Amino acid sequence: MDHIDQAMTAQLYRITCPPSAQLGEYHLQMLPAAEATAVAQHLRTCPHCAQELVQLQTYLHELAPELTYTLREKVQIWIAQRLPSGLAGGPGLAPAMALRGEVEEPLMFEAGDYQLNLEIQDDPANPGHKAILGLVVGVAELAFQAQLWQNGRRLQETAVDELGNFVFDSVPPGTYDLILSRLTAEIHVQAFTI
Amino acid sequence: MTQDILQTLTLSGLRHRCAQESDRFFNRQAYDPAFCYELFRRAILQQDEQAWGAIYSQYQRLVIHWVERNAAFPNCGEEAQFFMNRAFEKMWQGITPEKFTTFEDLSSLLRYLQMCVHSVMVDFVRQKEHKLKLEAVEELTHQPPARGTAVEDSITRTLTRKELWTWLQSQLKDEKEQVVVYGLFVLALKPRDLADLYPKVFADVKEIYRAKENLMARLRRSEELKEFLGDA
Repeated sequence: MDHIDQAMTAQLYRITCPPSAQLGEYHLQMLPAAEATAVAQHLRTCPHCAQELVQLQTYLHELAPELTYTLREKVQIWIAQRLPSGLAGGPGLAPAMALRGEVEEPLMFEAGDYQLNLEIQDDPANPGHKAILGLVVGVAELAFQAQLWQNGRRLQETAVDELGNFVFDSVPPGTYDLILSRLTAEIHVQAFTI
Repeated sequence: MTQDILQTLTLSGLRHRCAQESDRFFNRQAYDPAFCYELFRRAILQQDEQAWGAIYSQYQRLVIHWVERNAAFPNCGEEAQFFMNRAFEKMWQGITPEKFTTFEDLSSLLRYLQMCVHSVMVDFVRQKEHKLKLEAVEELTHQPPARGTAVEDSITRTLTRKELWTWLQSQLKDEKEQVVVYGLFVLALKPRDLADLYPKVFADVKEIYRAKENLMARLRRSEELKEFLGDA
């Protein structure tokens, strides 16, 4: 092979081949009819693309079992509804750990069979930060994990104790989501501001 | 799970549930794919960048695993992270809001992501093969390519290649020459293989050599070809 042969091969090698993603979409039967026909015609004359297609088929076949799943029983999700102040009070709905600093008006929520009380206090150990004292009541068996989230990121996680209490310390002012989670049920307190 | 609840969940709530369900999936337990699908829906239909970020975080471990299982990966000399990033980019570019309606469930979306992983591996192999062919020419001519920026080089190369291809097609006299150029230069096949592939065009391999010799004799006299190939 002389210089021109090699130079032409280097310049023209696979110049008519479809992009690899188009070949992939062809395999997944996602291409419009005209595009699919053009790719099919190309495949009849191009052993390289035909080989890449076989490789893709093999690869997806090998990974296929990893995408199978069986549906499970749905998790019951309650979006907590804010209650007006003073409505959901009562002797049982005061957090056990209270009064660590300046206390704001408690936030009361209702979520299905549960009631939730959040008390926001200044965190004396971290000036400018808050502590969230939570109490969840409503069922005998709790076993919840409490998670504090902000903008899709989980910031803190703690267990809810047997009396329904939980605490988050050192929380900067801002808007948060609180998720109380157990195996088959969740309570979501969305976008509350402290 | 009603669609209402899914759409009511904040990104935090959705991401939490997607992570929980994915953990169940990784532990080979039954799981509910609706939450992760909703993340994709928000990312693609609502162009929600935070949802994209959540998908990236949620699936990067899985995509790296897919990269490492690809046959082209072990000898490629690149980090799996590199291909993972390219695969996500390819998916973001590939699935438009219009196209999203064709994805009925999470499995089909993840299947597309797997296809993107394979696609970036193929791109890498194609580029490597092309680079090797260019380097072989450089060795023969002892002329390194002119230096420009990577993007400029890439655009110039693509333009030149397409121009050369268009020009070359205008120079071909008959089907035999067309098949010779396509088979020997575009597909880089050996003449014997080309003869096997096109038995109706060529009676035997000698006919391919003859057609090529005639064509090359004509092309070698062309100033335009020398210009395209940089006096190769």
